[in-house]
Amino acid sequence: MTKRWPWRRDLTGRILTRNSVGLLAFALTVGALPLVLRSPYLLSTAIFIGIYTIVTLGLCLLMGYAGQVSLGHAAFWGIGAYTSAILTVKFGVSPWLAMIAGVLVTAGVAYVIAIPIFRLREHYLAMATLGLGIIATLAFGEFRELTGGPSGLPGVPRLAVGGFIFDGDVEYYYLVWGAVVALIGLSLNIVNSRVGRALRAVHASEAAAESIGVDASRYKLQVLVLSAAYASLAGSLYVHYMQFVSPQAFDFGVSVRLVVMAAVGGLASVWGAPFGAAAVMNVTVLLREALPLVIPNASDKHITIVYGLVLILIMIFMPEGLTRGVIEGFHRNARN
Amino acid sequence: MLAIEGLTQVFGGVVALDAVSLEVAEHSITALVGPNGAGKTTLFNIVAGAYPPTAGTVRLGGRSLNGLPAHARVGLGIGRTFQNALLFDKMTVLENVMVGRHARSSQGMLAAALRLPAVRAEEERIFLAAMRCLNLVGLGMHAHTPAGSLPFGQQRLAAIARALATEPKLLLMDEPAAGLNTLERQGLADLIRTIREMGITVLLVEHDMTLVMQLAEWVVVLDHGRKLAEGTGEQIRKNRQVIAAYLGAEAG
Repeated sequence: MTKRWPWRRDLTGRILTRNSVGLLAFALTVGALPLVLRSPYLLSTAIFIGIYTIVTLGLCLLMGYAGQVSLGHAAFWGIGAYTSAILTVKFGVSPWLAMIAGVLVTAGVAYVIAIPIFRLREHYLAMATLGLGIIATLAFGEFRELTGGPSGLPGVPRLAVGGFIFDGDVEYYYLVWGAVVALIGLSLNIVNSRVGRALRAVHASEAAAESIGVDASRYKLQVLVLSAAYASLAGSLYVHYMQFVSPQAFDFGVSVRLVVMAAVGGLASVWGAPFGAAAVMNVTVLLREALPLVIPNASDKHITIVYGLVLILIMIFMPEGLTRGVIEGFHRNARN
Repeated sequence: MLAIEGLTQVFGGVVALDAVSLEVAEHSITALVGPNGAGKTTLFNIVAGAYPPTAGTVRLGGRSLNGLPAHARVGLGIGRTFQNALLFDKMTVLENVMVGRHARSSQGMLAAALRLPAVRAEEERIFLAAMRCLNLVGLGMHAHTPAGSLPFGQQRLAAIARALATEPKLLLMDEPAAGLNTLERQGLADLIRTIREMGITVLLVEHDMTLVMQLAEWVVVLDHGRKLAEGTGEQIRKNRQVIAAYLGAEAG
């Protein structure tokens, strides 16, 4: 039998215990929220935050652990959403099967894009995904028979298990946040594994990581595909909640907002994702109210400009993300 | 065990290596010496697979390494340490060495996400092997320290532990003694001997001639990208060409 080494418990053991306690506390908090969020508006906002959290989670892994930036994550999100919508509306496929198909299609697109890019060492992923985003938004607006064109595709069915239909917001809230909890759990497992350590190593020094046997491009590729799959899942959840899909929901501004969510939440931890998503969601609502007071005729494009500025500031002053930056700031003050 | 033949490397118009051939005997400690710019690090980078040579072949135990990327050479038994340690600063010392087990373990992302029993068992094996390497270099006490906050001498040792974790047959060490004090150098010499006794062949680039004479059975001298001489430490010390090109310049 394996002998239990006394120090073993304070290694992986301690990390895992801390993570499972954190996850449990998070699940309980999230589970109790609908008891407090009585207003339909707040509940619906919480559902959107959950959906954004799933996309942000993938981006945190990609940016924080693999050190790569995607400026086209709205496209992955949109491909998942459109695959679900088209398969269920036009072909009568079961929503769950369509969701899986969406993940496979999106992961496939990410894979095809990434193969030539990760052969090169530089930061070409940002440019390639930027291109993908532009192409995807155009494609969503064309092919009218399938996508419904610029006016969108209505009539997407609700999700259902057996006779149970997720038609109320409370039910949908639990579905979305259940998925968030599960995905945070899976992501924590990945981060604290052989693959997670390899990714952090590549991020720190690609030369050193390669010198001890880590195939850097292989793991960057895997994380991109994983984060695209997360985005696709969020897209399917989004489209079955809205029961409608249109191209504007996945344009460049949305991609920028997603990167800001990841940067605000924190690039050094997967726990930042829900906070980043919630913060940016709420600030967006505020900006929609406040910007027209300053700039007449302000639109979502102006909000994108504001986020661009926020992103630049975060990257200059807190390259590990706002949450981590603030925490480290506190530590520094405490020490002085 | 390592056979280099006609190795040539041209960067732009600069010839960094000019048809260098040399052999490293199994279980030996071989030193590669020469003035700055002689091509030592270039030779290391090519053997480790950082970039392909302009011409020439590198064989390990008869097998050609040409065309293999750096990460694929680790599985065949090539380990290396860098002049400036190149630790993963924000990871703990232990995590650094655990990454060193990468090529000797196999669990992938999906299995890791679900934390399957096979993943847990492998994590335990990775941990124990990494701990053994850390204890070997005397850093067991610092396992949970962030690597970036170790003093420089200990960072070097951690980098050696990380390379040892890959179970190399041949360990390439780029100036392991640079920046170390006398006491640390003595410890390093002992460690390198221990590594050889573990059955690992050592090829080191080093400027500290005392250390080279003390450790290496075979010394290869490079100058301006060419092999100037090779032999035992005693032979090299008496070689007039070497004295003129290298030792003499330094002594003068």
